[in-house]
Amino acid sequence: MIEPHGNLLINRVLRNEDAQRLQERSGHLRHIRLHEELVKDVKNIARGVYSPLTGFMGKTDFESVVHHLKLANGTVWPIPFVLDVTQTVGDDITIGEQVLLVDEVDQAVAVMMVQDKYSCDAKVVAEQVFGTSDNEHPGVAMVQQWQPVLLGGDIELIDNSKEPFNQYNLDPLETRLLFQEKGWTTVTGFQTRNAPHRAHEYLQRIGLELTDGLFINPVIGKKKTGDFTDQAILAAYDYMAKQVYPRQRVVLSILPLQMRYAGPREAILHAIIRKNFGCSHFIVGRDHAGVGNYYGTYAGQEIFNSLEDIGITILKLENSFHCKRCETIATSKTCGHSEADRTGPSGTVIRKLLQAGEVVPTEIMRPEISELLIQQAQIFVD
Amino acid sequence: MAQVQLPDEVYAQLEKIVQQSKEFSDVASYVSYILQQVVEKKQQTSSAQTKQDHTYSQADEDKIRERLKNLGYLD
Ligand SMILES: [Zn+2]
Repeated sequence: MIEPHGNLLINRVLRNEDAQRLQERSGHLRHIRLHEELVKDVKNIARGVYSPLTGFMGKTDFESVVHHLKLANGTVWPIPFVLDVTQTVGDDITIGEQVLLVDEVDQAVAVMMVQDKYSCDAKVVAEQVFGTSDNEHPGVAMVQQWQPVLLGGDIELIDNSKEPFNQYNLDPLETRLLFQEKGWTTVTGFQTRNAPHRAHEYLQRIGLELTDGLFINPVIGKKKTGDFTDQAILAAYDYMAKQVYPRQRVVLSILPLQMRYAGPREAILHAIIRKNFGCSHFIVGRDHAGVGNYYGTYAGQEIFNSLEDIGITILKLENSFHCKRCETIATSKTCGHSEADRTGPSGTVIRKLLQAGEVVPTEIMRPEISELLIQQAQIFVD
Repeated sequence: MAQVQLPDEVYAQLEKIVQQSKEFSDVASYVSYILQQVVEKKQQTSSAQTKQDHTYSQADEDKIRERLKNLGYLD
């Protein structure tokens, strides 16, 4: 089995009895309230999804990541993970203080030992991480909205709840054991934010042909208007995993994670995360984790050419389409016909049809997937 | 700021590297960056060694296997 990133699988989930004891003793601690997306980061850190991170980044790691794509110890890391607080809170907090991280309803999530306190130039961070300081970019907007003081420090998780979708939510410890039990030594990770159409299926089949197993790992969480709902994505993939592919060769599990839309840098993060789950291979297709026209179509693949080996094999796959003369899904590597013979899976067209309750042409989407989606209470985010 | 003495030969070599790279303005910032990395690495290693309480036991593994079975991931 592939080693976790940085060769250490982080596990900062407290055992029930320790969590309870800690929570009882934590009444006097300063509370820092996290919004939902930061709670996801805390849980991901504790569960080893972001191994080797053990907490929110201190200044040295932060600056090294922003400017050099590496943690201070030299391990490749593309995206800064920070805990931002107001100036007043920041001024008041002392290094070495233990704070209680709570969710939006004041429930304890984790404790953090504050090890660093610093600030950053949001514009510089945006330009380095996102390649732009344009506020229209959702990731840039997020950085611009950070509070002025950033806290770094290791965390210990108190609340290990996995709702919603508990039944589809596996930790790296769990997937690693699962892959091992299944006898898989090579596993292809597939990242998605969509319900599956035939072009996705084409990529997944390549993974199934090349490796022992396929790990379908949809990103769950905050979405944009017009995106598929989490429920719709899961229902469709549950069908693919159980009714289309050989059951024994596919694992479907979610990844609660906020999209930053950092394009190439986010492709690296997505690969590292799948490595931590135990994947040996990771598919990067066109426009990986991009938004608007900020990144080139294959920027998410190209960045790996200039990066040192991060220990997971990147399957850089071409844009696929249906070709009516090949009578199948193909790419420019396998089909010699002209543009006129090819139909790409257009998100806009698929959305319009499904919203009108119409089945998407079967060469673009499996009819049973179309029908299953139409039956969902809500297919798209309002 | 503290001062550290370096052999002339080492300094000259560092100066060459700094001139070739665009990332560092002078030898001092380059040296300080390298040393920070070394310190961090030391800290990382020591924190990894103290992470024994977070390693998991056979009982934990059995619990995971149980959950995977209950959720239908394992037969
Ligand atoms: Zn063709």
